[in-house]
Amino acid sequence: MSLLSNSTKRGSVLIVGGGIGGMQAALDLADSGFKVHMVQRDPSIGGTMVMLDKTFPTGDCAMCMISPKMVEAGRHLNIDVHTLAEVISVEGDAGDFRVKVKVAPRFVDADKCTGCGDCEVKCPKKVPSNFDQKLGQRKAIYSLFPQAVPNTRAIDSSQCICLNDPDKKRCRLCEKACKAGAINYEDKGKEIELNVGSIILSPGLELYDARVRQELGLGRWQNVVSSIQFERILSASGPYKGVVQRPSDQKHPVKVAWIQCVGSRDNRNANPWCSSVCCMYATKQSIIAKEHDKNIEPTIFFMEMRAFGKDFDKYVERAKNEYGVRYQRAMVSAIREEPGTGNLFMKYAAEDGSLMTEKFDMVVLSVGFQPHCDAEAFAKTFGIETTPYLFPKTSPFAPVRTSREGVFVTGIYQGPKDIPETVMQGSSVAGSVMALLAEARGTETIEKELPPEKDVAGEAPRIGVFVCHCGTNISSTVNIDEVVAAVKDQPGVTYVTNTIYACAQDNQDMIKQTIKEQNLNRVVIASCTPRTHEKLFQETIREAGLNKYLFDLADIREQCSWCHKGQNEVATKKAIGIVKMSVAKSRLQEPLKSETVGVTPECLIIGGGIAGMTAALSLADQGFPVHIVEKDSELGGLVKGVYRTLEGLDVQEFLKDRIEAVKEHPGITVHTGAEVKQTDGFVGNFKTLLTDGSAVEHGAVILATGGIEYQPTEYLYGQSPNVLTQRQLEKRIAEGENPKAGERYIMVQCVGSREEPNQYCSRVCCQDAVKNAIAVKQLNPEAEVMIIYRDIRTYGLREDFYKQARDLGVIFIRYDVDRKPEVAQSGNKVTVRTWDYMLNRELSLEADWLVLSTGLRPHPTTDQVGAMYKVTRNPDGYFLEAHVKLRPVDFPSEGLFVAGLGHAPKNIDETVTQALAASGRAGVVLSHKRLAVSGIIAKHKRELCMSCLSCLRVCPFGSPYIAEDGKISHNEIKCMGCGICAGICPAKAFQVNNFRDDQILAMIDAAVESEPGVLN
Amino acid sequence: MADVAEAAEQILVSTVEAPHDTPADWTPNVLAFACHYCAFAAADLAGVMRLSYSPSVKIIRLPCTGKLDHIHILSAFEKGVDGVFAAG
Amino acid sequence: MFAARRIEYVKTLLKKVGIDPARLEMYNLSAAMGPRWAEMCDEFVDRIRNLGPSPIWLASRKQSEKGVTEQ
Repeated sequence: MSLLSNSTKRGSVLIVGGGIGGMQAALDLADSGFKVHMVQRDPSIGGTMVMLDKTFPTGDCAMCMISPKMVEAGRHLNIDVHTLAEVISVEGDAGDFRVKVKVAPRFVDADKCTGCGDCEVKCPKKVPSNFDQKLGQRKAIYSLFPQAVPNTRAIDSSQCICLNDPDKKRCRLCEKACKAGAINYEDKGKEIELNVGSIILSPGLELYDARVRQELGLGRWQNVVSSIQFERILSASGPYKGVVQRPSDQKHPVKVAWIQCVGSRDNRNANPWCSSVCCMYATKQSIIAKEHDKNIEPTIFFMEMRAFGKDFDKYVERAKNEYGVRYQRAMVSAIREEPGTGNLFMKYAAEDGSLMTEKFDMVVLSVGFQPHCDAEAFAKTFGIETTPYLFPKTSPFAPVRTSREGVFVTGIYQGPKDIPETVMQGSSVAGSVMALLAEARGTETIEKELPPEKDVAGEAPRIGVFVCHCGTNISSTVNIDEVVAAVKDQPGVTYVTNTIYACAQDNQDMIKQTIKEQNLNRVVIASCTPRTHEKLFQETIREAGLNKYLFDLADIREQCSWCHKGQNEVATKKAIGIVKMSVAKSRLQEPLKSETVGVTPECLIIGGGIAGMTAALSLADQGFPVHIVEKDSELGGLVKGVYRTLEGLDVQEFLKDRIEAVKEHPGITVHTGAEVKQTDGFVGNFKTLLTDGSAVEHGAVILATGGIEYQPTEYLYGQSPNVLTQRQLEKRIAEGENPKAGERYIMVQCVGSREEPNQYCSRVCCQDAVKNAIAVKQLNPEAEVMIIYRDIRTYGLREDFYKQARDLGVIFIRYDVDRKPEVAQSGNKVTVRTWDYMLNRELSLEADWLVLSTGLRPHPTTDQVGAMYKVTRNPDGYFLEAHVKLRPVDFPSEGLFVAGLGHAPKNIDETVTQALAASGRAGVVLSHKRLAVSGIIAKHKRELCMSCLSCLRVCPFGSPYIAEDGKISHNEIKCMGCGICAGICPAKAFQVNNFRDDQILAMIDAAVESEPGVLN
Repeated sequence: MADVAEAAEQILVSTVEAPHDTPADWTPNVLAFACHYCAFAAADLAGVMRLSYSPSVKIIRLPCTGKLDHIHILSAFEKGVDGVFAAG
Repeated sequence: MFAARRIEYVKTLLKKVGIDPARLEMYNLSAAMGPRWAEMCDEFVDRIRNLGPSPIWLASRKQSEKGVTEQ
């Protein structure tokens, strides 16, 4: 094999694990010039997220969000997905690894299989479905889930009747059923060799097996289920079709209990770490369960409510106040089934120690995560070091790097984390790889070859309509056959059909095939919302040779079946109306040209803290010149006041290294003491003027504006010499002022956090308190430390330090927000009075030092910078990302990214992660020579224009301008297609493509026609 | 909502429309003009949250309510639509 | 903002031609306001139900009925 460039590095990457994190990394890398090989153990990519019903806080259906990504990864030209595959050996070094992959036999030929599923129907062997957590069944030939990618079915060799017959003569029904001749019982699998420059490990974790804790009764009492089983119960495509019912008797449960920390935070029976996500998923499940069935009364039994993420506390408050979810602090000791009824008696110790017994109809165990059972061998295969818990060894300063150069780690395998953090880390590892393999970018990728666009100008419309069942999501409410029949005779419609999942790969192929066979020149798909699926379908029709704007999506799910459940007749009528409106619009659609613009391959980063510097170094290593603008006279940001990480690493040393690296890097220009004065432009082509007089042209911008610490006004801060903040205590310790024997430190948590008007968790303060408490105790065991807290949120692997603090004798006392501690000066000490919920009485404690754990706030400039770049902020002032789950570093406007405290409170490792993610996302933009601009823009007819300047005044993007002849012209590159100009223009000189007045009027007509009784 | 209460009052004293009988087969036909980023997304969310509401409303998606034109509203009424609202 | 002004103006036009301006309304809501959307739709449809069919709908119905009997 010959190398295309002189580089000794390979331009390809191996990603082990095809969950949401692996997919994000794959898409970022493949979209920016790297060839990706994805190795996945399961027969489909998707990982854990595909099993989930919905995600919080938006309640978006998990499958709906991940399915377009899977399809994109599955059909990406530069991503090769190897399913049923495992890596068996790795040789070589960073830049040039040789990897052997063992692919297990699938017994179905992917090249021949159409994914029709006839084989599955005929297969006589039913086995419990692992995907449905054994609550449902699948066949011996199966696809993991309906939207599986690839959609080629696989035969489970341990279950197949034929494969278990020595002569392979029995059954063979799937072979007979398969019209494509894709079944191959002789498949032996294969071994392949890959040459890659870098390796990304994203294998995910496995769930704790709660059967180990026999007293909780999983596997013994039928109505005790694990949280992942409950997720399947909630799922509309799950074993109970989304009806919340008990496994024992299919009765609808009323009292449902969740038990937290099953398998987590438990040194004796399970894993010592906190799994980070269970508090929130239990809250979500209780809300969703209640939405499915309003009679359900959820109770969550928990030790500590760890709602530490962005807007998580608000979600928990909503669960309590709007949904009536009961949160009970307790230790559950045992569950017993009531004989004959299937009901469950739960014994628990309430906070004050009293023993309670309560009856429930159903119990959900919130199980945690742990490394795969073969984690040790896995690490050995890749030659990486692990922690004693078998997580890969990483540093908070380089969270995605393993001990072996060129091998990176991402997602939940790196440490327990939720979906947005996994996605973020996916981009972050992509950014790291882009920097490592910069010179090999583009050496192994191929360009997509699209068929030429069919010229449809002058042709009469030949519209094809595809009506989607969405499993049963639409078809259980809307009568699909009636919709198909009603649309058939609409003018311009030449073909109508139905489809089970329009978004699944096989149906996409079917749509392409139909376009060709029926010679369609317009396509309408009636399925779900254009907000999530329009792009996917547009690409599909483009691949079939149609201009992508000859497409319309009629939403009959979000705006019909889902909100008119049980009203099948009217919902069907409405769906017919919606589809007819789409058809009316489609009839008037014209092919649109998409312009492309050049990209200035430079990046501007606002903020010179850890986030800004990390992103800058990564991008500069990728080969893109970077400008950092820092308001202060020196780099460093908030971290200047931090001395140690929780793990004990030297932050100041790290900061010094970073600053030096930034200053020395030839690709980075630093503008200290400067701010953004003025900015203009759009993705690929920004122009920004700085207050130091320099003008920067750049293709992308990263907002890393950082945060500040809350300056407390409560608890005698500023009035008493005994009152400090955690940061001040940390400084004292760093400067060698050691705690004295007998000295008492009392720390108060959540100062300025988790109460109105700052109803959010600042995330870092619990760890700061634990870190300083440990430091005090280690420096002088004779000193006394007490932490007065609301919930100790040492999530993930940080839980170890909480335990260490307790082992060192740090005393933890809980308080409630409506019974906050009271502080008074008494001589040269302060007295703290607080209620002790365990003893059920008030305590009065004297302290030498009262240490306040103060929260974080966004930097005051966030407001101004946000306004300048027209990005929105949440009610707390933090930047609002494009999507809380799947786009955690993007803004809705392209080319703008966010990193660090400006996005939400976070730790150093998380800031580094997000900064690398921003560099990965920006790298995708900057690696393109040209970018395509949307065709949905306003078109300006100069001959109609009177140059009244109305449009100039109202356009939020500055696209209309006064041309040299003194009349209005329109810069289509800047136009975002909002149509404000079209609305205000008195001469009707502006029309927005695909939202033209004639199209809207046609939709209005269709809306009226579809209404019987209205005569025209 | 204050504006609805106000409107209700308006209806009682309204002399704009002549009194009429409502035919038994009539059902309200309402058109909504919704901004892609705000109201349309909210309508999506209502669906995702499985909130049940009147099926009489059909949505016309606009890139932004700023795009809404007099002619759209007037034409809807002219064709016999019973009510129109814009949301953004 | 522009839409709100436009709606106010069209309301005056509707009044002139004998259509109750209550049949037209402007609402503001954000992407996160799913519940409000549902509530708003119900409120507005209730209002329209109280107002009954639009005069234009009634007129065109009458006309077409006449058309049918004449035939």
